[in-house]
Amino acid sequence: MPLATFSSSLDAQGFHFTLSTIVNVSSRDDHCTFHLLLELDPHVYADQYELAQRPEYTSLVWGDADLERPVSAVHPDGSVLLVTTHKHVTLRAQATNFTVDVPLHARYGRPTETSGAAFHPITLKHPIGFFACIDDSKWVCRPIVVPELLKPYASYPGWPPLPLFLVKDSSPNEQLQLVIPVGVREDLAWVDVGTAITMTVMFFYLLFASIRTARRLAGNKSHAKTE
Amino acid sequence: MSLYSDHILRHVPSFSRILVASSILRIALIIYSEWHDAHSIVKYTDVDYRVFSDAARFMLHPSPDNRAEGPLAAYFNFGSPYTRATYRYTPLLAVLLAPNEWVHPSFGKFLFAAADIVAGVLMHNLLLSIVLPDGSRIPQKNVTENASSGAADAKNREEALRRRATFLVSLHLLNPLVFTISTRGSSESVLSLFVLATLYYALKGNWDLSAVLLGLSTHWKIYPFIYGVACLGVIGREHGAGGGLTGYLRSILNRGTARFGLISGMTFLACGVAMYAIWGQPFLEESYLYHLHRLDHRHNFSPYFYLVYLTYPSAQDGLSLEASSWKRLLRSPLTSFIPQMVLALGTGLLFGRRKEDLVFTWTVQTFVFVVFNKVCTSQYFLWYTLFLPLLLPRLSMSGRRALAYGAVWIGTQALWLSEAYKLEFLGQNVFFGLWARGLVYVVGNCWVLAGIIDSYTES
Repeated sequence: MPLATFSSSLDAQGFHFTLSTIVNVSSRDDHCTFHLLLELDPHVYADQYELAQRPEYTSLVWGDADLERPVSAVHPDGSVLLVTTHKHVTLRAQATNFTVDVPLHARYGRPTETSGAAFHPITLKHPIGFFACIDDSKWVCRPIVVPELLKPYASYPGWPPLPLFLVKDSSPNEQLQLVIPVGVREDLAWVDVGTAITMTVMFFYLLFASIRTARRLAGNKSHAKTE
Repeated sequence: MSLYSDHILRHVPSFSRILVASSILRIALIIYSEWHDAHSIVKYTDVDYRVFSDAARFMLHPSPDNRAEGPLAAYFNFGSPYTRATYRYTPLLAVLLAPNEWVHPSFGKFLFAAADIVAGVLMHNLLLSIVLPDGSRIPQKNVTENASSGAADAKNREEALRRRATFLVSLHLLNPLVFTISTRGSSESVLSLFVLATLYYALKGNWDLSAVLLGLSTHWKIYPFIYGVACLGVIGREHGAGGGLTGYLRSILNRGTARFGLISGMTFLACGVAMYAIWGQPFLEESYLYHLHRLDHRHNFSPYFYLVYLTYPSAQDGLSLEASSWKRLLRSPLTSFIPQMVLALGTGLLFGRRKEDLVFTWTVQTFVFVVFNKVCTSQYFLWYTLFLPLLLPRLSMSGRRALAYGAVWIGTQALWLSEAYKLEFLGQNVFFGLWARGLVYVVGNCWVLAGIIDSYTES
């Protein structure tokens, strides 16, 4: 079984950010792949089609991963993302570090009533890192048990086969937090009236411009006919 | 300085050179996009291109979870392009991009770039054969006044005409908005080509072919149906006769208009039936019905986005905010739809009187449609800027005024984009400011459009 630790950090500004996880491997195993499990708040989603473009890993998403709706219109349970690195940890002798960067996006949050609270903080749960090891006769005579932390997810379709070995999170206390701006319901009065007035005025402005030009063109034609 | 001043036209190369340069530019950008995307997290390629490509892949690789659902699907071994989330286009687009799987993933970009080039050729032909010879507002001072050689005069005039046509087409072919959109993998150039071809045959008087292409364009994306109104107006005046109410009714409903409407409608229907037969209800839902009830809450140029976001119905109770009846009226989809349709269709009827006015009419109709739409992204601007090279010869305005219109058109977008960047990438709360800039965008664009309408002159 490989020996490793990982630490994750989030550098988030705006609605698009990356969760960066550095995995430090002190001994590697030919038969194991590294997985990163992220339980995502409904405010945050992963674009599985974008992740499919990443050459260094594959991914699976369970739950509501709608790409287009605001948080008020998606399931409150959010989604679960599993990232599986392609890099097989094979060498037994030499330590290896690798980084797993996962792009994530924020949905528009629920509007707040007043401008005083126009930002919404989101704290992401720390990811769970683990190895899935296969095809090794060492494991045949031992009972295979799903680690407690992973039991809620073990029945998901496409879940990696046993045995699974948790990797220690070396920065469990580091907050993975982002803050997103949200709309303000107080603005509705302005928005309702402002939008309607502007569109109505512009409608009549263009209507009159069109009629004026149509009359000019019709006048030109009858003038030409007279000549 | 006039657009047609000798200073400028003297330096205009031949059309074939412009075509070659435009083609090389697009090929280079597509090759660059491959390198850039492989080496950068921020991609050159548009997200939409990934959507089309994925849809093509799903279509070509059916599986138990991915099957065409039409009544005739059993006869074809196709998957569904609608397995790809956010694919909201005709299956024909996925079919066009099938070579992405067989040949190269960039095949689609080359196709879209080729559509740009063919559109340029059509434009050049229209300018040389119809638009410019129709007595457009071109100063004659650069034509040799040598009375002793009529043939030389004619040759010079022809040369001047060719240079002007080439200059105008290069405004499209060498327009950064046009070539970046197609080389990034947006499919707008395909629809632009269909629309331009529709116009081409209408101006040439081949109404049957124009009707077929209008039906195809409307199948591709719904909005081109507005051009049908202008076409019917033109055909009606060619066929109808008499004054008063009877004459007016005869100009609307006669053999010519009925034939055009029937051919166009049947083409649209045939495309729809064929797609439905194979791909079934998901085709109808995603290609058409989705657009009837879509709610675009994320920021875009249209000021409606903020209203939609603040009143978005919750998934838990399915209800939006309670509102008084006048607020419900203000927020009703009809409040935005009615002005948009009245102007888009009304200007078609108002200005669609002669074939020669079709370029102007379609420009106004499209511009109005885009400005009053509930959602607007940069790609939508291509829908009307497409006509500008054909319209410019008919606009009578000073260079200063033209610059002012250009500055306002670009400036209102830049104003909005700078605020949108703060929201999207810096996480600043600028929702209200962004909405206000959306209003500025609408007002600015309406001022520009009114200026175009006022400066239009007939041939």
